[in-house]
Amino acid sequence: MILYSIIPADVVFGNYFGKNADEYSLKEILYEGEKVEVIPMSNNTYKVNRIISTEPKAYLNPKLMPGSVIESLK
Amino acid sequence: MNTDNNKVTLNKFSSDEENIQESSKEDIQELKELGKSTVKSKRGNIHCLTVIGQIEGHIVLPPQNKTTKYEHVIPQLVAIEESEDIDGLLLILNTVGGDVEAGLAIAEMIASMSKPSVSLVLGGGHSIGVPMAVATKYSFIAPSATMTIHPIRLSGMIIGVPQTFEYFDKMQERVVQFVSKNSKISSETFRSLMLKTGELANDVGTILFGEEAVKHGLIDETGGLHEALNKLYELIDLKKGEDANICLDEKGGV
Repeated sequence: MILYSIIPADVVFGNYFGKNADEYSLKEILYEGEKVEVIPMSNNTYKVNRIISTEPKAYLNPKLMPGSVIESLK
Repeated sequence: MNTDNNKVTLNKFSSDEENIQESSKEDIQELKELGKSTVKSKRGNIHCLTVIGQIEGHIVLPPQNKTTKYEHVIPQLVAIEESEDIDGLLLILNTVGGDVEAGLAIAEMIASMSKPSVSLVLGGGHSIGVPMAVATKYSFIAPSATMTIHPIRLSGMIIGVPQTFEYFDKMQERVVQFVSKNSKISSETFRSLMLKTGELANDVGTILFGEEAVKHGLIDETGGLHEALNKLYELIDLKKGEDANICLDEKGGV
């Protein structure tokens, strides 16, 4: 792979095998018909991290706002 | 604590909105069942693709990087091109570069779409962000945004033979060719910007500010969201007009 970026490669790939990797465990789920990236929390709940969608209206849905909590996946 | 507060306000907000939301949801459902298109704004229905951080391709980048993933973007572009409800694409770029193959793939996809597309570079559209910015039918750059053009390089272990250099030259040529084909800049000018010395502190290359990028012909115009949206709707109207003409021609022929 050729990285064509202004960020130096050692910054991009730094900590690759470090223990930090576990802290950022993000999941992608389908919620409200849109693909969202969530942070798993305790009790089977998830916190919305970001929306992965090109539909502008999805960003106005309060349930999908970053930081809002999804109670269960159903 | 902060997140808890957020949660409370969000919940309140959503409960207030619930009734309105539900009725509008029914409307949408009805429209879908009747086979009609989804709710549109007066000027047309657009989708917005935001490209942030690194472009991620064949290798999953470590989690401290913010990335835009190839496998997310490509199917979205196909869906946008195929959907009858979507009239155009607004591409918003604020990227530091990334995987050459993934970046070029996304750029080629956008360039080969039949639907109107407009790009807007905000903050920065560096390295592989440059071909992505020029891939759309029309491009904008915010006056304060910058674009860094520099040679492709590789860190880590390489085999020190002349072929390695040639391989790099070829990889770089792919970017140069794409950019010169999809914008008003010539390949010679772009290459000379790429190899310029004395502009970057510890590297070869050039940083172009908004106005300079337009002056070199890399980007079509400086502007912001309003200008980009206006241009996109203008292109959509133009396309609708063309489509209508084609329909009339076909009828006339028969």
